[in-house]
Amino acid sequence: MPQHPIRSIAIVGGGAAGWLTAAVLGRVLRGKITITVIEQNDDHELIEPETATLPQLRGLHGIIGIDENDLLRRTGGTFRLGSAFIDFGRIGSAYFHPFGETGARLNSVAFRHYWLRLSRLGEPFDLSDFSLCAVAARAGKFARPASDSRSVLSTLEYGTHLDAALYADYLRDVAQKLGAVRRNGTVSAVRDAAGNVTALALEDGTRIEADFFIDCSGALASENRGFQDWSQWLPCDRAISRAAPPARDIPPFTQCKALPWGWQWQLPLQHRTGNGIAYSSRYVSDDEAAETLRGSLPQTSEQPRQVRFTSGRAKKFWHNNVVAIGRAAAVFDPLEFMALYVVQVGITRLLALFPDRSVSEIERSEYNRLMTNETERIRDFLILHYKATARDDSPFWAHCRDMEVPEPLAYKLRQFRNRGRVVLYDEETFAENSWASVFLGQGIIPDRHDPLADGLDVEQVKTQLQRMRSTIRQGADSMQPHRLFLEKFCRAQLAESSGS
Amino acid sequence: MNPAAPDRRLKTIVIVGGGTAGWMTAAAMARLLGSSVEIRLVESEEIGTVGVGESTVPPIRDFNALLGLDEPDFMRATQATFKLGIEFRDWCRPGDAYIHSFAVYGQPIGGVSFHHHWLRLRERGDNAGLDEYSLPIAAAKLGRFAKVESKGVPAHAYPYAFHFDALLYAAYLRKYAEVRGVRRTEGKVVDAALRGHDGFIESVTLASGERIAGDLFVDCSGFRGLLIEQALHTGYEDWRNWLSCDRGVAVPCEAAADPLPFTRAFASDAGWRWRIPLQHRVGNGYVFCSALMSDDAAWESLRSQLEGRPLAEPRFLGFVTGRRKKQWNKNCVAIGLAGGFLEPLESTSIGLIQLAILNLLQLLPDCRWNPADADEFNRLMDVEFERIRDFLVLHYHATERGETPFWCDRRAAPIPEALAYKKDIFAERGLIVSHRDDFFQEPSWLSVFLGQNIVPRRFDPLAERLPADEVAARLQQMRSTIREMAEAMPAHRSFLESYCGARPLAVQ
Repeated sequence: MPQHPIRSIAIVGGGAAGWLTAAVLGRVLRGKITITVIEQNDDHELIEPETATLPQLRGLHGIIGIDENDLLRRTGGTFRLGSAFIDFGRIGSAYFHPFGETGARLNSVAFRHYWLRLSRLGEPFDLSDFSLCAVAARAGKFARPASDSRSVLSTLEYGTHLDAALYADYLRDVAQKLGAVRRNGTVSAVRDAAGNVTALALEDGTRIEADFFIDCSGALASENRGFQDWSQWLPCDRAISRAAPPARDIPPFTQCKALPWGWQWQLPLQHRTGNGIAYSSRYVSDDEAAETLRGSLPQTSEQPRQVRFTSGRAKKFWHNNVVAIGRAAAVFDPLEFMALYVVQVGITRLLALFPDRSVSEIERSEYNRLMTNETERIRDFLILHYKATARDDSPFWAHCRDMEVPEPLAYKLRQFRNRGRVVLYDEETFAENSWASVFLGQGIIPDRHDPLADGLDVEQVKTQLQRMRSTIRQGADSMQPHRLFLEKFCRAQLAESSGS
Repeated sequence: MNPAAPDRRLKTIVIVGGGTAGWMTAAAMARLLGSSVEIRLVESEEIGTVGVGESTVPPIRDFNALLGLDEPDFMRATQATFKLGIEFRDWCRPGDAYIHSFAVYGQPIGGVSFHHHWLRLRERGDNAGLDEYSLPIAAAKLGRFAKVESKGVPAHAYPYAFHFDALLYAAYLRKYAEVRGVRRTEGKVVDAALRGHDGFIESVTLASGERIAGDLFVDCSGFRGLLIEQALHTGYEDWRNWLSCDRGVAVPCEAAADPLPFTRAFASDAGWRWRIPLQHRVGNGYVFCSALMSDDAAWESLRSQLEGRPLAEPRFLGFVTGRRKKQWNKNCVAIGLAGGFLEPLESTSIGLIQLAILNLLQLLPDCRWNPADADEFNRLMDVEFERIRDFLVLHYHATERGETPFWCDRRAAPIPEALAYKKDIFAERGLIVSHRDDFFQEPSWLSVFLGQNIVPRRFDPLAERLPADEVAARLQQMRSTIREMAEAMPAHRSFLESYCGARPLAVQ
């Protein structure tokens, strides 16, 4: 079996997506491959200029050897224990979607079934009291998870908030140290008869040849890639954002507040707070959205940024010898901040199926199958935030409440409503706890709990829950204020972004 | 929200049929549902049946643990031996042999699965077999056994299963269930009464005239599907186009040697033969295609290959490979052969029973009968049945045999699409497509693919990043550690004697 290893890769598009891809490939394939990144003018046109990451990204950072404290210092980053959702299920409601577990299993039955059982008996407990992430977030506390599994602090999980432009700069440094070459300019693809890209022609006449190409910008899109539009389910198609001065006590979570025609985020960095609104142009004018944003922020001279987008995915993520990664692969409503995760999963799946120069159809079809599954499961998770609502105060929410959702999500809703069962398919990004948090937080209360939860006596259950709750409270008490934690370990030391 | 709401919980569950499926169901329900529901089991005792030996897969240990069984006690009571895997002989070509052990081979290096490194070295002329990187296979070949738990040397921990007498296992669980309140009724079910408005089962009638009413009925009556088919006409999906064996003959015999710590499956002229070592005897059987072999010829072939004197008359059994169109229909759930049949090539019968029981307990309905419960149960079971079917088909498909009509026919038969996809990806670059909750996971597929000579054309190019000598040295180290560990283990027989000897073992 002769092997013809790939010798060179060209990545079109810099930004966090392109440079993260370059850094990971540079690290994993160190010394065996030439990597060129061709930056594009629109690399920083992210929907949100401040971005939030999922816990999974820490694993990828580990592979490329990023020191997280250093990263946060240089990007003004902060920690995030989850997201608070306000007014989504109905006006006046709020819930927290924490990373990590909520409650412990008892007799191998999920915690929520005991919680449901007690609620039915008129003994309501607040669900978020059983998640250390949620309790700590509310108290403005932070700690990294303890490694000792006996400590309640081991149930912590976290992601981060980052300045997207500074993060891209940081990754560029890392990637360049690992040997990636930086170029820029508009590219056009030179293809052979079979449709494979053989080189990229730059405006200045230079040609960049490579065995394999990664499109992080959309510049190499071809008819074959196609686009599956999800806007019937994810109706927001524009975003407007503007930074505000940093909060005094930096919250260790992201806040998302529903509006009559979209929603507003608040994303705290050390040096500023990102604010933005995602909205549907069918239900509100740009002016009204801008006015709403302005009205919610202190006055400054700074102009808001406006971005248009359409939620959807490529029909074929990998075609010929070109893989689309990041926003070239899938665009999501920024709810739950999936932009960097989509980059991450694109990279890790590519590594798992890394081709040689012949690039077989087998690798492509498996990659496309996996990416289709994974992006559709994320899509369903986001749709749930819109669909599961009792709001009828605006045409936007009435549309969301009444819309037909994709069958896999409809099935999950039916199963949860029936008996609190969380159905997970292959390639799920979000685990059982995340789904349960959003279902319950948005008012999908199961008709019944798991009868196996009746195996314990009510008083026993109550005692157990009280014990869990106080253990979690003590755990949160032992943590430091988020601000102090940042000052101690990750105080911002910012250089000017050179990316723009 | 109202505590005074009517209690809609099930009041009575009726299990029709004893045997392994019925008593496993009864035992697990007694354990997990306690006294919240009345559990009844109806069976008619068969007199004088002899257990032929059943081979299991490692999750059986989770089931036993759920019940809180004491392992040595259970093994003593069921004449059990340990099972490290299945040896497949003559499957790809006459003379071939490999062991499917359930355990991972080697350890990943640099984030790349072990077998890619092995493929790389193989391409460079290193001829160490994949088997040499598996401790349970090394132990099996030496006839040895020891428990290597994850606490000790985690990298070498491996799963194991058992061979036992299924009738004795059922009897053991019957005792367990009856002590915990399961009410057994002796009798033959002759009729089932359906509710007029929705066709749900209301009660079953016994030959004695006694009627037993219930809310949920579990059909463990075997192939015929007394309730799921005869009463509810659920329908059956016939899979004989994928798996053409439709008949079996089984017989126990005296052991001629110490019990092996693995099952044996020999490819034969019109099917395959098994040998399952118990403490006191050996179970044997021949599964064949009745269109291509007569009962007499099958029995003759089996008899001539027995290692000792037969201990009973041969028992013949016809079957239709496939599954019930719905495992759960109305208020009836089929568990065991009533739900479907897959030949015991990979010892999945009890594993499927166990899965059905656990899924049912996770989806236990109430008297509102929301169809979502049955839908989910059927979705989960359908996927399991299909994936196991595909795994079995692989054994017949990946073969170079062609000396009999049976093997010519099997080799040329089309295979399910999902299997073709999985095989093509493996054959191209050694990648194993996996799914949530796969019954058989990566090491199992790897074992059968390579064991039956599907060798990937390429390996993961990321395996090339490390210097070959370095990798070769690490592999050498793994091999010798495994060899030393296996050689230090006690013989299976002596381990059994000291751990759970039922009585002095048959052969000294």
